[in-house]
Amino acid sequence: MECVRCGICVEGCPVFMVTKWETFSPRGRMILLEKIFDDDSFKKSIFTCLTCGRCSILCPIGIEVYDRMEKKRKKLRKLNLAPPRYYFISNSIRKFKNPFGKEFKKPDFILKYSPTKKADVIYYPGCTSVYREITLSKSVIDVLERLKIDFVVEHEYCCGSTALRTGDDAEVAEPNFKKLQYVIEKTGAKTIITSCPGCYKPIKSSYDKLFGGLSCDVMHVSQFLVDKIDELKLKKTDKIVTYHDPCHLGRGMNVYHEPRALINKIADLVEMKNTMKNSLCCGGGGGIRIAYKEISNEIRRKRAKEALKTGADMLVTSCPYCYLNLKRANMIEVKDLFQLISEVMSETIRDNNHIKIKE
Amino acid sequence: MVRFDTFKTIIHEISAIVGEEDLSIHDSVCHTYSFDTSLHSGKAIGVARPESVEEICDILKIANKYRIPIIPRGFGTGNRGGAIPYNALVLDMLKFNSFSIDSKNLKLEAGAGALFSNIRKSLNSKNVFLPPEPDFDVCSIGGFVATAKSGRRTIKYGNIKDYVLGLDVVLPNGKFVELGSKNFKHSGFDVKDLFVGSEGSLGVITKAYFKILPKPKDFAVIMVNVENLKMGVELSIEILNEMLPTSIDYLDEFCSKALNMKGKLIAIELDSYTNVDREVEKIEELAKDYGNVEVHKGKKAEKFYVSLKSLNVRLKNFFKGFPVVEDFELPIVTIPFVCEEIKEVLEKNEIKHAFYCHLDSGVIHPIMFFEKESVRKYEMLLNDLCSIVKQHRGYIAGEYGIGIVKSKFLDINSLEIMKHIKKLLDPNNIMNPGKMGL
Ligand SMILES: Cc1cc2nc3c(=O)[nH]c(=O)nc-3n(C[C@H](O)[C@H](O)[C@H](O)COP(=O)(O)OP(=O)(O)OC[C@H]3O[C@@H](n4cnc5c(N)ncnc54)[C@H](O)[C@@H]3O)c2cc1C
Repeated sequence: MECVRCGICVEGCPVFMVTKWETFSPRGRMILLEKIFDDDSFKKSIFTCLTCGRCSILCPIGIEVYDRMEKKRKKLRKLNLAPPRYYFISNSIRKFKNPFGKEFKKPDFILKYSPTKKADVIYYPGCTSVYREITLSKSVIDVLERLKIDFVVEHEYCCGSTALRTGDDAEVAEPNFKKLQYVIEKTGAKTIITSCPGCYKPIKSSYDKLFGGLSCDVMHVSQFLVDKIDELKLKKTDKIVTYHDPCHLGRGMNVYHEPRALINKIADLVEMKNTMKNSLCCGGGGGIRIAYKEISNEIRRKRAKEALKTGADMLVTSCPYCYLNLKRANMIEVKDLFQLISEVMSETIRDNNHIKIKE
Repeated sequence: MVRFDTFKTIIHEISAIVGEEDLSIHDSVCHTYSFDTSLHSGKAIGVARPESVEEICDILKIANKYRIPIIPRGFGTGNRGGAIPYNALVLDMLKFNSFSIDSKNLKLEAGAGALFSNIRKSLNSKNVFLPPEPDFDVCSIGGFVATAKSGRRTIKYGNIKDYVLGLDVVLPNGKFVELGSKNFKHSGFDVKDLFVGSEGSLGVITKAYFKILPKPKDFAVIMVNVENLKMGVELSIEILNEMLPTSIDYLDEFCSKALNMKGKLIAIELDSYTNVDREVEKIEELAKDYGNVEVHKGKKAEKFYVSLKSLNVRLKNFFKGFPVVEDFELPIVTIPFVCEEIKEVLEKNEIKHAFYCHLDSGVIHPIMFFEKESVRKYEMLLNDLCSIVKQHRGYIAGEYGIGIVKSKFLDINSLEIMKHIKKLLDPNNIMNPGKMGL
């Protein structure tokens, strides 16, 4: 489908909202799609697309601008026209198996669950939750343990998401695909769960297209937990929270209700002005922070402001990347959904113990 | 074209006015500002984003000094090539985006760059409305006024001209003027009217003042399936004999399909400060001999008009190519056979098309699909279509403006007067030259 330049998408693009240049809007990007210019604005146009997909929801004929941008980025990469950090990240994924540019030692609590035995479920936490914000993967593991789920943790290779979103070849994600398939066969697991939407989208959908798919069900942890959580008998707190839909989980994979259902069990949920399919990106999508931090920061401030306006005590999200990004805006308390669940779980246990002791 | 070293000086001077951040001469930026929604395209030499009246005044002075063409641009959704630059500097007006609503005095004040869809939402929440609001509301206030844009509701509520109370304009010589009384009445020669529909050729509109109305309390849309356009026109004439609806639209089978409905349809919109029940009853009685009748109120009725906004775009689900929409105005009774004649021409030329018409005000919108690179083919075809329209005492551009696309079809006498006025206000022809035959 070709763009007819009606402009309905323009005001809906977070990057346009903060830059106000046509060039950095979905319509501008579509105008540049077939072109190559030797100037910074051209690169900026193509590489500031957050791949958040908000424009496609607005487009009357559903043009998937983010998809075209990924293809365009691929071409520009080949011509050596991408920002240098993109190559750095791709190289890092190939060399160090993560996008952070150096080797890391895996934490013990992950090693403890190495996929060396039979199991029902494989948990794939994603690089950010294993090496940067370990409380996030720890929280998920806590909850899985408490629910007595028979699981292992697999995390050797990066899922390749950052590289794929910024136009790298399929091959960057292949080692992870192969390893996951190997672990599925070895453990006999029926389900892979991941707490990172950035990993969830490629593992569930891109791997299908690129490598023919994994022989097992792929779920986001929120989907996996939603009908199990009642077993934990969590108490409802008096917290008022607002929920930020991660783009790749919401618009990307249509997961809107499960995280909300989980929140509703433990806190009061108030929605932001832009929510569900209209949700605004946190400003961290599409690799934009790699080269255009200022724009990214302005977008995240915008989103955090929306959260503040709801009067909520905290913003909850279910993506390590959104979590980290919004937290760094320093405007409102931010928690990952599973971190919140794990905390409420500990509180519930503590309270129950108190009651028992009193009795 | 200016020489390269002169160009550098100009850019330097303009940059000193708006700041480096708000001026770009990057080829990629210029390219993205070289289109609107027509088949045509041009070439910008730069894009400047002024944020104050003073900045615009200074830019126009420089433009006069160096004779650089200036194109004021809103949201670039015009479909007549009005905002397309040809070796010109684009003046992006989107920074003039503030607006305020005074519902007590029934007035709206809006910056030229304010987006109509945002204004509509705010008006709605305050229970007021600007009746001639465009069907397609992704447009700036400047573009709206400069193209004298209109859509539905004309028969009942009139045109945008009837609602503009005042305009702030920077004239081509760089002088800022406030035109119009900004009140409901005005005696004498009302100069501001000259700027409504001026398409950026007489100056830069920076702000507009409008009259607004209280929002009607009741609202309904009645859909009637008709066998053909002729019957639709007969029905609307019958209706117009009995009452004044807000709008009567005709959608052919492609248009209705694009909006998830079936068959040829007449949509009659009613509104009232009390209720519309009596009118609905009357229309049901008149329409029952024509075909299936459905009455919608509330959300469903609103949804229909929301989806109608992007009709041309939605039609792309059935037709390949780029949609080009005409806006011919005709005496209502002639609509069926003029549409037939137009259809014949389109079929002969193998142009895929659909018809959407405002049967109250007599505007027909043939929506045609062209390959992107077929400007020449379109222009040739337009000659034929315009001569059919003229033959039947119609007007070639009822709603969307003239731009570059329709300038050669303007009436010679009007054009001569327009040229005199243009010469007086813009002796160096820096403002949107080449558009509207100027
Ligand atoms: C899907 C679709 C449906 C449409 N439906 C309708 C419809 O039903 N009715 C209708 O009337 N139009 C319709 N249009 C046309 C379009 O929306 C209008 O022409 C619109 O008003 C243009 O507004 P803009 O801000 O985008 O102006 P632009 O395209 O940016 O500019 C249009 C003209 O106005 C001039 N201009 C802009 N701002 C200023 C200013 N501040 N001062 C002086 N001159 C200025 C420009 O130079 C240019 O000549 C439709 C378009 C599309 C794509």
